[in-house]
Amino acid sequence: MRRIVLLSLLWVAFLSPRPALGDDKGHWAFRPPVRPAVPTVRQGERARTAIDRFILAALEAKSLSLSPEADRATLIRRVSFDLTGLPPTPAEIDAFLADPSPDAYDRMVERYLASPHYGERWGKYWLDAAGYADSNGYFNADTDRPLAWKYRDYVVRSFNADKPYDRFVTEQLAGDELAGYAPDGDVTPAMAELLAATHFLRNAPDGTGESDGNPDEVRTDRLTVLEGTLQITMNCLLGLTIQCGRCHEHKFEPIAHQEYYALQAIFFPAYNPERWTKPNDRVVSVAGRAERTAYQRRMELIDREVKAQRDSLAAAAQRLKTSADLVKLTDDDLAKRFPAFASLREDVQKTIAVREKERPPPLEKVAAFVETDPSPPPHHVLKRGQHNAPGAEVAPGVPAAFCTSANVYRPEPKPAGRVSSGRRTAFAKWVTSPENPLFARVLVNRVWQHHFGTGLVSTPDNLGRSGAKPSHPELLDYLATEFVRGGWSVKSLHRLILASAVYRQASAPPEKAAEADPDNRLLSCYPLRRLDAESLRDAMLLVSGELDQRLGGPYVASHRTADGSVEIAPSHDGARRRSVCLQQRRTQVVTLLQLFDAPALLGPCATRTTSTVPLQSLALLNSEFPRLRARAFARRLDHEAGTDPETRLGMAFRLACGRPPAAEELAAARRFLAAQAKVYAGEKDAAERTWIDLCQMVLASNAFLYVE
Amino acid sequence: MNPIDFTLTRRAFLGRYAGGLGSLALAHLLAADAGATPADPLAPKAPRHRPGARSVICLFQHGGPSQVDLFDPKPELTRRHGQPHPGGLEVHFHTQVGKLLGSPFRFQKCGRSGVELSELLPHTAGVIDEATLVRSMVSDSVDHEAALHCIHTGKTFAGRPSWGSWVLYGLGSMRQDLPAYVVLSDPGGLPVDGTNNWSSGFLPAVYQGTPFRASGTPVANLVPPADVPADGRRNQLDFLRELNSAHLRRHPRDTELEARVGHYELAAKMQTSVPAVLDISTETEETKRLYGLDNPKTAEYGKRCLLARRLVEQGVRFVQVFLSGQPWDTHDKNAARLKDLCAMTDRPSAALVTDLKRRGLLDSTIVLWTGEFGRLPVSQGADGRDHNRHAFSLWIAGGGFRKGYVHGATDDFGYRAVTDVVRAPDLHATLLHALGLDHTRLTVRHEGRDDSLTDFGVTRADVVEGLLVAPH
Repeated sequence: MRRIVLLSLLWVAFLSPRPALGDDKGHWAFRPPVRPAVPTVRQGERARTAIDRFILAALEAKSLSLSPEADRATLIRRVSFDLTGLPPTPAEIDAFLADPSPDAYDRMVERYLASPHYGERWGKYWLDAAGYADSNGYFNADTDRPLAWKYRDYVVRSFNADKPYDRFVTEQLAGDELAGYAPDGDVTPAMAELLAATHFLRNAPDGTGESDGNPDEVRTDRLTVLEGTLQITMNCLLGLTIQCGRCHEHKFEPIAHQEYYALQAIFFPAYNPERWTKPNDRVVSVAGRAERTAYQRRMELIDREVKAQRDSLAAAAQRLKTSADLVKLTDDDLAKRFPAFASLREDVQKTIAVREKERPPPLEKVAAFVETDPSPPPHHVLKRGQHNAPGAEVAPGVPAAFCTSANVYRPEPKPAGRVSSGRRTAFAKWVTSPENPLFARVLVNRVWQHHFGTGLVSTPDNLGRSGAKPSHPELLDYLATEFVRGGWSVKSLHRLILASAVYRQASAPPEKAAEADPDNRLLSCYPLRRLDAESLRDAMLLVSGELDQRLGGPYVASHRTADGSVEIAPSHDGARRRSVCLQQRRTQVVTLLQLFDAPALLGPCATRTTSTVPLQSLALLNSEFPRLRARAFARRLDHEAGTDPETRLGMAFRLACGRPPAAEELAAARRFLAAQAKVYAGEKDAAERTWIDLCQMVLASNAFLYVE
Repeated sequence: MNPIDFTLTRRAFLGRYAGGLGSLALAHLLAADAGATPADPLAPKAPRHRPGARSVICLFQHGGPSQVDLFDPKPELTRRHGQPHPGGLEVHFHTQVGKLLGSPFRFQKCGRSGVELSELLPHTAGVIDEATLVRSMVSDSVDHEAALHCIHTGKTFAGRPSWGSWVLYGLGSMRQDLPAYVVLSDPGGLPVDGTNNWSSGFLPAVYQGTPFRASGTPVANLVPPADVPADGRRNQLDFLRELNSAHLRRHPRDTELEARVGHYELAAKMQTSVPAVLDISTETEETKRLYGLDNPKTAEYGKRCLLARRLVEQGVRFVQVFLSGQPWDTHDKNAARLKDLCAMTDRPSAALVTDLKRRGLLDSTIVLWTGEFGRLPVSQGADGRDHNRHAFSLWIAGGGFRKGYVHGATDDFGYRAVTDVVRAPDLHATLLHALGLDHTRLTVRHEGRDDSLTDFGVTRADVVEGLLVAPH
């Protein structure tokens, strides 16, 4: 048995077919993108932008074309959901439909790009790809990460501010070094923002707060954090799977066993298993050095004073306990029996209360990734990935296959007196260079994916040899080079994509495409898409008029009910806030969101499945959340649409589906109202219940659940 | 509800069970015959080869049952009780390693096959002629969570699909109105590592286990809101179908939309089908006694074993039965706690095998009794045993596994499996094989490579043919 394992390891390590390193530039994604020529197409008049010419070229090769432009109501609902994760309001729809100017569409796009909800939507995509969660994971205890939300807010703010993408990533990899953080130095609020960014490197599951067992197990738990961090970094930023390199030469990608550990060495100074800090102790106080010292002194002084008071009371009690039966008495008993003790106790309690009130407000804390070891020991290769089998020493570095002569990993010499090694600043420089073949491509592919449901490369977390082939390789490179040319502005990238005819086309599938392109990879129509879990929940709240639009702050705690489902108690202050603010506990995903494919975030998540299962229907029909929303939705119609059924139906459809009801929908609704009135005949709340029942079905209908 | 006839074709099945479905849903379900519905990942799929088994019941014994006290007699261990263990030991709690601890329990030959079992397992002894006993299991970790991942998913780290999810991925569901993968956990609480035990990992979420609640309504959201009467609900469903038909006309041939339209009708049907399968009042008194429902000691676990049989009978593919916490984790009072645990679990576990057999379901159902690792032959503290990944025992009955057979052996002390060692990936390969699935072909694209339950390219997992009646 053991021999078989050994043989298989040997096979994987040395004998399995693997491209020679020299070949690696042969893979399209390992060469820096070059701006391609925009193709000439026969139906040039259908193109609004260069993007369309790339799309049309592929369509024309299969004798297909783009679909006609979608109507305005469809477009605003699509753009609104795409950019903010929320449906358009009736007022927004009316303004857009009534706008006769030729740039009405572009200005509508601008309005949603400027919305603070934009950052919530696109921030959440980033958080998923970065493996963000509000809990430590790893063990079943899945303990709390009370400060992680500051990273979430940092991400949301960065997207809203359209922070250049290279800067955004640099901050996450080396914000502490950018800020000049020193373990005993000042931490200003501006530095705190950069420190919060480094939580990117803290997103991996980390069970080391709970580790027990023998020293090997504890070491394994610690090294697992380092491995998880590297996996997230390479996966999220460069679209590379890296884990194979832990045990042997990577079978598919040009990453040598030794190079895997060179990458680990970049993060090793803060993740050294021999000098470990538990996850919830990796926090930094936001204060000047003097302020921090003063705070500490003040706290210690009050601790001492409070203790002295308590001691004096205890001593007095002791003096009174002169006989065996008195010894058993509590302070309460003593106070009843000895008035002098009672008054002494009252004085002591008063004094303590006064002292406690004098405590300074706690210093603001931020969970960060910082180095505290001025001379970290060398890292080692782990033979066969085994945590107790260190091999040769390894210096920090990056895989040679992704370097060019202009872009290599080169840490600056460390200035005297600085603690942090500078390894991550050098790494960030290498990652974010326009010469890096993967960095821009991965991001533009992900943005495309979230606008069209599928990326130009359908495996957004893997652009390597083992990833999917791009459907439109030149378009991907065109977008990547435009993105860099536009100063890494993600909002400009949205503008570019949303202006295209391929984005603006209708979603009804053309007859011809069913044969020639059954999966619609060539995009002869806009792909119909179900709302994702968060949009589904948030849109229900917005439609019902209940969405609590407060931004940011600590997460809204979820809990597991007696019957095992996970929810936010309806009475909770934050129960109607956006889903991005809800507690993202790895083992406790809110049931409604999980049913609609929200991930548990055990690792980074770049793509979600879109499942269609009866349990979803059960939830929409019978669970409390949609029923409560339907109730509020019906009340909203009372307030905003009066009593006329036709007006109410018009309002209901405009709120939920972004358009007035079609004739057949109106007819069905009338039939339902009549039938349901009979069911509730004679009951005093008949009308109210009828409309709640109707609103619930509108929120369960495909016209609401899908974006056309 | 009648037991499902496994030989039914899907079309016939629909004729029998889908009578009330709307025509759209029916059209969709029939389309599944042609395998043309990406929207229904649970459509039944044909096995790759003719299988012995169609369903699985896993009686999971959390914590690491002590093999040397239950399944693996070690006279040498008894003889050298109190002496130091002669070789090295891998332990979990390294500060509490004691001397060799002989089992206080007698072993005897049982059944026609003469398999030796501990006196703690009189009922299991009664069905041992139906079972294969593996004494040479090994795990990759002495840590509970990692070892749980290993036995359920094949590897020690979190995030991989449980083998039940792989079975669903490979075979689909035999019933549309019941979850295909059901988890029955103890009313006392979830097992250690909770939902990870039935996670679908990187497979789509539809393949994860559905926990049936131990009390109240078994499946979430089964019952309509209290203020919606039955005829009001019917009107709602009719209205919804009309809305969705209008939508579908704008997007013809979209199988996902069609599926969703059908699911509202199915959801309504589940309101009756799920409680019906869980209603044990129709069982005879004799059957209830067989599972120990007449005894408070055995009643809770017995009820879950009985429910497992009812679920499998109705076409559920995979059932996992759990205990609360990790009761077999006998770090102290090993002997006393084993006595207590066997008094609770022995009778119902054996009853399940007996009951399946007399109903003609044992040949098509795999019953797997296992924990995540074993225990050490030396004492921990005064009277406990620490974790051991180098040897543990499990048994498998039915589904084409050999009967009255013992596989593999451990060393003189029961510390290390030495003959015919079986790792979790080998076990998984064998279980999939018994279900008609080829572990080297049941793959999914993940992180750039074709991943599988056994990851055979790396683990070199192989079907343990010796465990099966007639290797296919």
